[in-house]
Amino acid sequence: MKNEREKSSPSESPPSEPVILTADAVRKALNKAASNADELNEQLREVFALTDTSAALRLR
Amino acid sequence: MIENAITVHPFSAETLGRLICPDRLDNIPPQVDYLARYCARLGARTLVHERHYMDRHYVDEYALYYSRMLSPPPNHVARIHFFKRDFDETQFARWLERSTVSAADREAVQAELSAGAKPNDRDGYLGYCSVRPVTSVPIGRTILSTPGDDTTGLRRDIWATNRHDVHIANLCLRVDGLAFQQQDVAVGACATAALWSALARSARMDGMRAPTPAEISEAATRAARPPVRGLLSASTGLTVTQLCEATRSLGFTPEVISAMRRPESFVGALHAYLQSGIPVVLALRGSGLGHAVAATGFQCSSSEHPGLSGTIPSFSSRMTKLYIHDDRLGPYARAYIAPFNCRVDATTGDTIEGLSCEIEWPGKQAEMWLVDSAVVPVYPKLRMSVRSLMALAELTAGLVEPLVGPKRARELRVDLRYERGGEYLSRLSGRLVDPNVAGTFVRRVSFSRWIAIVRWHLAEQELLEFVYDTTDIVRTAEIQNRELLRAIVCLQDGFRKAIRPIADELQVLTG
Repeated sequence: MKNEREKSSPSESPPSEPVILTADAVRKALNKAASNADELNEQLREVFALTDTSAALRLR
Repeated sequence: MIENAITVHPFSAETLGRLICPDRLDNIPPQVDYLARYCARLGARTLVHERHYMDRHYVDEYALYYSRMLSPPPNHVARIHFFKRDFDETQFARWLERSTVSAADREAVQAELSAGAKPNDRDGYLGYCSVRPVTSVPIGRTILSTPGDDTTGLRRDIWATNRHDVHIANLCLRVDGLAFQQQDVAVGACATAALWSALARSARMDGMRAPTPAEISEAATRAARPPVRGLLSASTGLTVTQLCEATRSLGFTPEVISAMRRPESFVGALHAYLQSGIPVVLALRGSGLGHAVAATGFQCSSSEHPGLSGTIPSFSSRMTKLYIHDDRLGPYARAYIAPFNCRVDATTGDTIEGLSCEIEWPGKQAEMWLVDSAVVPVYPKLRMSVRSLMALAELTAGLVEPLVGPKRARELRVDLRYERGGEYLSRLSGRLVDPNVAGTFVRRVSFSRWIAIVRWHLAEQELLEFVYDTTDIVRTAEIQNRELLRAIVCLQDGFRKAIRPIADELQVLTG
């Protein structure tokens, strides 16, 4: 899953006030982000593991 | 009678070559050539040669292998110390004489020898190189200072180093660096040297004694010895599995990361470990061969590489250069990394992706390798892997983005790291935005020995940190985010109020 967020240089964005989220908004944001996080965790399983080809690589 | 002799020499590549390998001046090993160039770059002006030094790492190699030769070499090494300032025998003799007068005089002499170019600099002592009495592989345990920032103004982040007290006669000098040594081929190979360097840092960080190369070779081959001839099969190279075995039996957990898929995640993990001061052993592939090096630091460019961008914008995607200990070359050698993606089947469109690593050789063409994988020796109770940390960072992105609003969300960057809980708290001085809350926070917060930090930046400035207990893995992000999150630390004054509802919902302390 590559980065799909839009990028721009910092100077393009005007400074703005922080948004104060309600408790309900925080819960909704957490719920929404949780599925992405779990999906990423699952996708990364194969990266954080010893593969058969790596296991046998002789380093000299 | 065993007797030491300490002599002073002006620094030059020729003198260094003559002191390290007087019997093969027409065939200087590349490591000696590298050390001469590297020390010249550090600004070395003077060498101090110690003829007799007992180095426990060499003594172990000696006990295991060299002592059983028909004609064994001596059981001690020589050492060569590098200094930034000019001095000669007469001056050094005067210093030693003065240092014996009183403790205050000794400290004054140490300060003079450690003086750098600027008035308050204490980087005048550059470290030392041990010289094995084995002509073919002379470079033993070597600890040298890290290179400073480069001339273009880009910062070098070399974090995985130790502070060493070094004794010469009755003087005690200090150097920050990571131990390097040339493989001796008899007791160990490149993988032994790379893991030895990495464990020198990881072990000392956790209050343990750093293992010797002989201990690593024995640990690696204890389980299954492949059918190869040799006293220790480590001398013919170690497999990645054996590296993991050695790491485990020396008291650490090996975290293995594959670079053959998702190079952005591999580089993210590499970035996280290196800036946590945890060295990474890289397994490299090239022309049917395998090679291992220890990565100790990195340099980032000012822009992000699109091929290294992950699910959330991270500083790791700016990482272009590594500083590696390559036993064929020397300490802090430069290696350039770049992701690649190539189509292997035109009909199906199948592609492979990975990471290339180009090692710079002075005066020669750079050497190209593919990064196969990494083995990271991690403190065993640091159970939260970078994979878990990446998942938690993804979760926190869902909270931080609405906090800053959609326009400024583009300026968010994250970095991940581990730190010892106590050190983290000490480092909070001057960073917390509200001193009244800060006092209560440091009094109430309770951390595991190692903590994990998801640090968010806004427009390159630190914004806030989510601080986690590392003694569990993440199975379900939202549940464990609540269970493992120990604190949210605000680092920009304007965001203090906005962070409060998040901390309240997650029932966590905020500082």
